[in-house]
Amino acid sequence: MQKPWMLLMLLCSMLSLAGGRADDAVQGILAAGEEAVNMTLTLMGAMTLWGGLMEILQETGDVKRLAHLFRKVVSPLFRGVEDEAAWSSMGLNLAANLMGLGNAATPAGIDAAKRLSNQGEAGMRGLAMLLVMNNSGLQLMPTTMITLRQAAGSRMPGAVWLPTMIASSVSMVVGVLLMMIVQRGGRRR
Amino acid sequence: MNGAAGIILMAVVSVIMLRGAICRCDAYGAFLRGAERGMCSAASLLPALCAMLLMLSVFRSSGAAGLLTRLLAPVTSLLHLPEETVPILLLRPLTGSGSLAALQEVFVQCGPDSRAGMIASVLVGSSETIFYTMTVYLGAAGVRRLPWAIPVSLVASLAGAAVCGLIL
Repeated sequence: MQKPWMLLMLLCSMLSLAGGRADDAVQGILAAGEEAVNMTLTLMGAMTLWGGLMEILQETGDVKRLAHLFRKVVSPLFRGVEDEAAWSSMGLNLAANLMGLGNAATPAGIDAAKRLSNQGEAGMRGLAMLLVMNNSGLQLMPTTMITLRQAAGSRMPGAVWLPTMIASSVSMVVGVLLMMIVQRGGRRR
Repeated sequence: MNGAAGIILMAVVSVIMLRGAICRCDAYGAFLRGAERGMCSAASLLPALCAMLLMLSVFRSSGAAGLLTRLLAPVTSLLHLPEETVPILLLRPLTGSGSLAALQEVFVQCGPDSRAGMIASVLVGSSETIFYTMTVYLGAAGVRRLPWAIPVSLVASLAGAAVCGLIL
């Protein structure tokens, strides 16, 4: 983000100086620090609360159980991946993402990526599929979003739950189907 | 809180507690551990969040944001998305803190319950920081290029955005 950030900051601050909007700009700049602190506090509240609650499910082993279930559901998408350890990391990564456990999802995903990259072509195809599934951001409960909305004074912070589920499910299905199509094309060649 | 989401959230909390009780594990200790980790990762967001809010603030007051919005108007109207969500659409694949900052801008300008506020929430909630995730995973695994992963993810995310415009 270094270059785009510098470029935008430089251009925009000079532009507002030249355009005679210095007063407007300064007001915004002075508010940015406080706004950042307020947002961080809101996020910290949400992440502390849900990080704690979800950790209980890790302690009971339920996240691992869910990971196991996931493996069975998604195994047709990852044909040719034999490595047992890669499978368990992939399952854990997908399950943790679904539960909104970013702290657990990333290490599992990195481990899966390392193992899959040693599995030849089938592994690389599997890695691409895993990343596409990760990128659809499917989450059972968008807890951070609900908390941010409540903090912003929303009267119905939870109203986004269903639309969010629909949008990310569509994105997941589109991503997986597209990936299957381009991978099949690649194999035939 | 509105109906379904409130019930689901409470059901989840109850199930978590029930599981903790059945397993006879140290649920309280686990809560404290997870809570501390969540707290630390949230705190580490502050510097980046401040940088992004600063950038978005000068971007808007300089008039550049208005210009970009007008330029992209054909795209947003095609997707039925309000023009206030343009910064989110552009920042979402690149930076998590940037898209949260852009979300906050929409909340302040239009309110969280307006159409723009609802769509902004769903856009941020239903997608990922694609380029960031790719960099982290591929960098750690030492993979230099993974054909198709980025374009397919971007198209999938755009499909999600189109759904937002249709259902909200």
